[in-house]
Amino acid sequence: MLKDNRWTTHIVLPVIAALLILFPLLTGNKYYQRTITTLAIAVVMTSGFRLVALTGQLSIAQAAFMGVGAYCSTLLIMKLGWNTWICFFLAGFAAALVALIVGFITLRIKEIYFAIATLALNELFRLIWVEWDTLFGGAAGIVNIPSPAPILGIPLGSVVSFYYIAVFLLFSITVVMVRIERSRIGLIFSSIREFDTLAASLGVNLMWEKVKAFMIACFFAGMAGAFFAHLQHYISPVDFTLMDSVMFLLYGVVGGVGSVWGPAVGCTIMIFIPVALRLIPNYNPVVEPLIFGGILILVMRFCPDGLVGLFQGLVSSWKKTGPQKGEKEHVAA
Amino acid sequence: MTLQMFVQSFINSILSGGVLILIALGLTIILGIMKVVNFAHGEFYMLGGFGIWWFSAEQGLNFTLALILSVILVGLLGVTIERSLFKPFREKAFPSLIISLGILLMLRAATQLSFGLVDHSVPAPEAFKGLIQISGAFLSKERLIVICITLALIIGLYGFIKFTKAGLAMRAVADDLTAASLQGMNVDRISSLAFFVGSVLAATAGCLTGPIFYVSPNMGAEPGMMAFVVIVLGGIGSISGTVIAGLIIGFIEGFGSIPFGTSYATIMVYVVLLITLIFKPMGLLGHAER
Repeated sequence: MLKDNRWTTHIVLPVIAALLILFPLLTGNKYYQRTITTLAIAVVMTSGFRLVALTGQLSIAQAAFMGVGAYCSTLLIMKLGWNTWICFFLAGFAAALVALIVGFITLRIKEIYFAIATLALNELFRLIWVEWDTLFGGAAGIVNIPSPAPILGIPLGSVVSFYYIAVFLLFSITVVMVRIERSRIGLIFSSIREFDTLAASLGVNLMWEKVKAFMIACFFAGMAGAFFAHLQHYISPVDFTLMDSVMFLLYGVVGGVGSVWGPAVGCTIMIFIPVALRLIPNYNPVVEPLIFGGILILVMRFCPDGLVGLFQGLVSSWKKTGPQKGEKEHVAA
Repeated sequence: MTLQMFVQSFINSILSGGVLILIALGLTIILGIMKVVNFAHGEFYMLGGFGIWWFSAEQGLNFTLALILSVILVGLLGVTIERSLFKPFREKAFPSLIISLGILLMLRAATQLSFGLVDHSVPAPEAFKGLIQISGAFLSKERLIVICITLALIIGLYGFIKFTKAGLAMRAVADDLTAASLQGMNVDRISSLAFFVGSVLAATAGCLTGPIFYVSPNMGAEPGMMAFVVIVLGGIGSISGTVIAGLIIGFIEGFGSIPFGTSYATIMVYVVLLITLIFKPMGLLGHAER
C-alpha cells in the first residue's frame, strides 16, 4: 500500500519546493538549470505513467501523448497565431481527448489489451507525423518554434524562465498526485488495482475510473509536450518515439510506482547514469540500452516495488524490530 | 490494377502474412500457456536472421544446415531466458511485460555491439534462385518456397497442438495452470517446450526472410510489434484467430502499399485494429474470460 505519511508530504515536499524555487538565485549556472528543467519534464511524464499504473494498467505511449500536445500547441501557435498560454492548456486537452477515445476502446477488458494498444498507438502517431508532412513537417519536423508569450510584460525565453515553467508543471502534477492519493479517487484506484472484481461489485465503474486516470496522465503529458516544443524550439517525430515511452516506464519502475517519490527518484538516478557514463573515455553509447535493460530486469527481479519501495521496506522493518535487536529478531521470526 | 500486379501483390501479401503468422503463433502460445507477455519476441526473429547470416555467410555452411543450427540455438536461448528470467513471473502479465522490455533492450544492444548497425545480406541457396511465370507475373522462386515452408509449419504446429499428447498438455495448462499441475503435468517442462516452440518459429521466420530482405539489429522491431497486433486482432490464445488476423494484415500491407505506400498501409492496419476492438473487444475469435 501507499506508505507516504503526512510528514513527507507536509515537510519534505515544501522544503524541496522551496529549494527548487530558490535554486536559480543560488547559482547562475545555466547548465544546471537546464538539466533540472529536463529532469522536471521527465518526472512529470513518469508521474503520468505512475498514475495509470495506480489503476493497475501499463501505458507505454506516454511519449506519444507528449507529442500530441507538442504538435497541437505548435501548430495552433504557428499556423493560426493563437496565444501560447491558451495553446498550452489546449495541448493538454487534446492529449486527454485522444486518451479518452483510446481508453474507451481498450480499457473495457482487464489485462493486457490496453498495454499492447498503447504500444501500437505510439507507432501509429509516429507514422502519422512522418507521413503527413504538409501539416506535421514529416521526418524533418517543425523548426523555429517561438518562445512563450510574455506574462505581465515579462519576456519569456531565457533559461531561467523555462526553468520556472518546468518547476511549476512539476509542482502541479505533484500536488495532483498527492491530492488524488489522499482522496476517494485514490482509494478507488487502489481498489481496482488490488481486486477489481470486488471493486466492481461495490459499484466502481472500472472502465471509467481507468479512463479517468489515463486522461489526467495524458493531460499533463500534453502540457509537458507543449512546453518541450517551446524549450527546444524544434520538434520532430524522433522526440516522441516508443523508446522514449519505454524510458518513462523504466524511470517509473526503477523509482517504484508505489510512492509519489518514485518518479522523482527513478528519473534522477536513471538520467544521471548515462551522464556519468559519458565521462568514461572511449565510451560507446550503444552500451546504454544494455545497461538500462539489465537494470530493468534486476529491479523487477529483486525489488519489484522499486528503489523507493525497497527503502520504505527497510525503514519499516527497522522501525518494527528496532536498531538494537535487528538481526536476532529476524532469525527468531 | 492489372492481373500481373494482382498476382504479384497476392503473393507478397501471403508471404508477409505467413511470416507474421509464424512469429505471432509463438507469441500466442507463450501468452496463452504461461500468461507471459513477451515483447522481446521480435528479437528472436532478428536473432534467427543473424544466426543464418553468421553460419552461412561468415562460416560458409550450407543453407539448410545453417538454418537448423540457427533455429536450434535461438530455441535454446529462448528456453534459457524462460528458465532464468520469466519463470518467477508466470501468470503475471505486467511484471513479465516489463521484464521482456528489458530483454528486448539487451538483446538488441548486444547484437548491435557484436555485429554493428549495418545491413548484412544472407546468400540465397541455389534452389531459391530463379523466376517462375504465372499469368504474366514474374515471381521469384524464393518467395514461393518460403510460402510453402511457412504453410507446412503452420499446419504442422496446428497438428502438434491438436493431436499430440504434448499439445494436449499445452492446451490443458493454457486452460488452467493450477488444475493441470494438480493432475500431475510438469508445468515447468511444458512452459519450456512452449517457449522453445515459440522461439523456434520466430527464428525460422527470421531465417526464411533473411535471403529476401537484409539482416540488421533493428529488423525485429516492426514484425515484433505487428505480431502483437495480429494476436490482439485475432483474439489472444486462438490459433485460428491468429492465422486469420495474420492473413488480413498481410493483405492490407500487400495491397494497401501499392496505391498508398507502406507507411499508410501500416497506419491502415492500426486503424483496422482499433475499429475491430470497438466492436469485438476480445478480438475476432477471442472468447471472453469475464
